[in-house]
Amino acid sequence: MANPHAIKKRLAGLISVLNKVAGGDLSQNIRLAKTKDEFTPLYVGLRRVIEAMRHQIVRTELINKRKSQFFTTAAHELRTPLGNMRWSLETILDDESANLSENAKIILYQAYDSSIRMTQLVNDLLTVSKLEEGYFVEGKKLIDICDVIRKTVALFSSDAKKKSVTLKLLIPKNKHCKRLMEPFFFSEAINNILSNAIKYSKMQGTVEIAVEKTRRTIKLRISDTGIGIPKNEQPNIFTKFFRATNAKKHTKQGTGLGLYIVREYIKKWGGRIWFVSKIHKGSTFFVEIPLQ
Amino acid sequence: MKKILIVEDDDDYRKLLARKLNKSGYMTFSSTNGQEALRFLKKKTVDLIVLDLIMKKMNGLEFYEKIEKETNKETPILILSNIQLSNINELVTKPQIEGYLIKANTSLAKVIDKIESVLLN
Repeated sequence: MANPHAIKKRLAGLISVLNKVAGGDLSQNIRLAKTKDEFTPLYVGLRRVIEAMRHQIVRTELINKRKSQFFTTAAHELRTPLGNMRWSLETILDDESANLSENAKIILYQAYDSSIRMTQLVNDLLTVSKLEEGYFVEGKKLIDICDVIRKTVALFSSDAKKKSVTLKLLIPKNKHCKRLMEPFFFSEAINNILSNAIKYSKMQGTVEIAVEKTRRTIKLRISDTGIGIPKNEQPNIFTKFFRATNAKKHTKQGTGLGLYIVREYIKKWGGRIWFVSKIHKGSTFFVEIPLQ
Repeated sequence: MKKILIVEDDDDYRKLLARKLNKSGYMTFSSTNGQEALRFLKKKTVDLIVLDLIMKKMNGLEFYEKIEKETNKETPILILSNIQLSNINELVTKPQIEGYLIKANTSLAKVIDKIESVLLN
């Protein structure tokens, strides 16, 4: 058995490797001494553990790659005929020389609306699938939340105008709202909440988006003066495919998946979402996300 | 009249797009894959390339990698695809790439709007 000083040194070496592995560094290569001693089984064991962890990473990467290919292929195969339907119907409806009767136009518009609903459903289902598979390929970047909100609001300005809905944006000026998150997912979350607010607004309503930043969190408030959510249906709002009865009467458009998706994203960011609503008066959604 | 090259392997999409672009006052040229498009661009110049991503023989991204070397032209590109790449935000900041639209999610009218705004710059 080696002297105490040598033992301490070798133990220190092993502990250093263990710490690195615990920190995620699997690049350590453990060399076995030429002569076997009491430490050998420990070295062998550690080597096997590192090997197993490396294997696990390779397997996970392979699985993610397969998932990625599946989602990309599924999206492409589903969207190709849908996009074709949409553009074909648009083309014929726009064609004055087609001389369509009013009745024919109405029926074709129905088909057009359905193709758009189908597309939205495909998009949302793909997102839900990815969330349930724990498949998050988009990397986190330092994004300016306020900027993303401004841009999303701008995208909705023409939809809002069609209903004479006023969009009010209350964002603190000169304040950075920067946070590490997946840019596309955050856009999608804001998009879904805002889309609902405008969709369920009555003509000439108001939609207000307020952002508040504290030292530790970012708080969002999106309120509308729309149809509201019936009290007995409020507990189901975040359930997959759920659409309130008055929402369904108000418009056929809607997959019932938007808020489920938003809540899943917000959970991943360690935040929470809740709302208050009164039927015929409107709804206010609150989102709170920790800054990190 | 502004010239637009459509690079799209799906016959139906290609024809619908060409029809809409022609009606909107553009002169259109078509290629069914990246290779054909490169051959075309070596001889001719256009004001905009509308580029699909998933194509056989040479897909959209491979085409983009080769375009500068092989054609020496800096034509603006609008990507029109049905897949949603995870690095869209990065892609649109690359040279020549002026936008990324998902065909199924975008009306033909909005495609024209986007093309007009790209050509105005």
